[in-house]
Amino acid sequence: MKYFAHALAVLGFMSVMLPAQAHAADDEIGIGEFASMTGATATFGISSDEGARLAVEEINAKGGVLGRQIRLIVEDDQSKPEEAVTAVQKLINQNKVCAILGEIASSRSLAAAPVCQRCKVPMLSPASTNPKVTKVGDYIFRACFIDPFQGGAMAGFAMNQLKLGKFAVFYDVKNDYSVGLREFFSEYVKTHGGQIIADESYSEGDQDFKAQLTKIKAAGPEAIYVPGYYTEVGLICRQAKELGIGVPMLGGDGWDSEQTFKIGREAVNGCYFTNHYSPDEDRAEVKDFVEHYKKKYTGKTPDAMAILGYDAMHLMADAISRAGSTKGKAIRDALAATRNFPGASGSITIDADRNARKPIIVLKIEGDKAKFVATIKPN
Amino acid sequence: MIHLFTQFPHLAEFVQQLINGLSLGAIYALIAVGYTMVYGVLRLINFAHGDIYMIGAMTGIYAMTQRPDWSGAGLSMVILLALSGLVLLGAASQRWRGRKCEYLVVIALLLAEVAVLGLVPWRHGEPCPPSWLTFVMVLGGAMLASGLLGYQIEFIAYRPLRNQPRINALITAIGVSMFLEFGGQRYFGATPQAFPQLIPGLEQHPDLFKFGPLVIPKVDTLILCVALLMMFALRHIVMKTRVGMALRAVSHRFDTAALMGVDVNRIVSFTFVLGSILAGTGGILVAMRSPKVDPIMGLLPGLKAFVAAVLGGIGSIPGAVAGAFLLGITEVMVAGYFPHGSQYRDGVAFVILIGVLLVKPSGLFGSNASEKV
Repeated sequence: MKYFAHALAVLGFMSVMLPAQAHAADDEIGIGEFASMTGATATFGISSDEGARLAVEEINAKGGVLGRQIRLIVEDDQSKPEEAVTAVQKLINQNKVCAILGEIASSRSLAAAPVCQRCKVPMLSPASTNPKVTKVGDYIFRACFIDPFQGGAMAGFAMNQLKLGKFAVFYDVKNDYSVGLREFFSEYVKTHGGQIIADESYSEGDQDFKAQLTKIKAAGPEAIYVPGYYTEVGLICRQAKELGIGVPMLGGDGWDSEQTFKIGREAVNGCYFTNHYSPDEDRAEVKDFVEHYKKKYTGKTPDAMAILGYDAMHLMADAISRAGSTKGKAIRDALAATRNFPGASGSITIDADRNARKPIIVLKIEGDKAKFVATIKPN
Repeated sequence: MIHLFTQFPHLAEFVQQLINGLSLGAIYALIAVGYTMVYGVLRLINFAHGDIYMIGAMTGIYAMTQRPDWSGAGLSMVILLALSGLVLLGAASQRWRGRKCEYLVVIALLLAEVAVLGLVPWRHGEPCPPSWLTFVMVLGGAMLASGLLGYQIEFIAYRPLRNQPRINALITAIGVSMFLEFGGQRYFGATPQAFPQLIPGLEQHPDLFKFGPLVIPKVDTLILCVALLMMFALRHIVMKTRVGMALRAVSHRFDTAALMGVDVNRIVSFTFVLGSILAGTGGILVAMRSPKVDPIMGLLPGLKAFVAAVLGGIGSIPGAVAGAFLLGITEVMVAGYFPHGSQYRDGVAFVILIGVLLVKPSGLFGSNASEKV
């Protein structure tokens, strides 16, 4: 009897811990979002979530979609691909969302995409650039450019504008995005008469890069391509400076975060990276977005992930309204038929491979800001 | 010299890698010494030691960037602090009467910590401007915090298990390690934080000497100097003071030392505090070199320092230092000279561990016979 009461008490306590299930009511449309709100790439998730929420606010203020308000349900994947799978499963099975927004990092999109494809829930990635993501299936889309374009664009910029010919590549071997960019950058350089004189790797989470950097320095490159995420990039630039490596570092959109400046500090000065947008861009849509974002998030300047999250949310809402229903197939077809959607980061047209064709912005870091240098249009 | 290194760039590269390895080894040495000292006195491998190194780095971040918001503290914090003071008074009165009171001191400490760390909201404040004084104060703060933590861990988790089979304490050590890591994730947040600049000019002009292609960075030299200084201080304490003699006696023969009148509890606490202070210093030094601090940062360096201690002969302090430098240099050489070596660098430590246990389990300087756990 004593044990029965004890067990009952334990069960009673545990029931308190059952989380409340977020469920869109009948007069709402539930859209899921999985993002890295914590962990090694937390700023990606936080920024894209802020952009998406700004978009939801704007859409709901104008009456919502199909007469119903949008409800954004967010799951944190802690910057881990295993958690991304769990997050997406929860969104689909428990929260019963009609579409999913996510993820920024290609590794996590690749982990979650098969789940969305299998359950026939359309998934729109705001910023995953590895080409493999949309190849998973016809329910997976992206609202940004892909890495063959990005790798080639930086290689072309470095060879043509900066007039450099000898490169070293230092990539993250555990990261699909980094591995892909290294391949495309190297390919472009080699087919256009340049040389890759050093090719070193590191792992996400490493703290010490001096061994590989010393090897790279000994090879004597004119620039080092570091297509990684901002935490390691900051450390790499610092340690490179400590070793006396004076050549510029080049990077991709994984550099775009305020943490790059906080961790890298002086050492990232004079480096270039390719990105989806620059807050200094002269277009009206960009200026409007920056203004609204700063108003909602108390003076914070939006980064590329924020504007892409914003655009992806608007695109998703537009697709649902064009589809006229919240059925997965209808939304999928509407997304595939997107032509010249006026996104803040640029006009979005979804091509036959479910990728968007958008221009690349090249930025240079000066002080603690990234300044606009050039735009590279897709051919 | 410049001509030598410009003439032979491969030599310059080798010496550069050597410097990288020495700097890494110095940090492993600071942690490994703590492992080896605790094993020496208690025959316990304190797996939580790597996390004390992490706490040292976290204390540095808090000291530099976080400020307590006293106005946000509620009545409960004041009550807890008052309670803590009362308990401390109680302890003092017991001591005055010649009775045992250590547990009262620990309770008072815990209450004060819950009050200050848990109940006072800490806000992001203006980072302290970098200066040598800031460096010394942050180092001192980290040493204090890690020393206190080491003392409390020993008292709460290991001392009650002193007379039980050693495997119980081993498992408890793993538990303490997980508590610190996941508790840290809950309290500090799992997102890596940037460690601010401590020494003026360190980042703007990072090189100390330049011999042609060979660059000697200031931060590596500083790490080596501080680590060596602490090693010498430790050697002085262990070899030339009475406490050190008692420490050596306890690690030689625990029960006999007690029979000779050594207060073993005090010595064990002292050992833990000493080891933790060194680990905390290691945390600050590594944060200056790679300013990314997160609650799991202590896991891998802790394991590698343990391997270094085993390599040098667990229980021997010079062995731990030698093993750590050897491990650091080997790791850097593998990463720097083997093809795809950087993917194997973490594995180097574990290959060395297996090698040592197969070939010479007592390590380089070890003399103890192998004991069963």
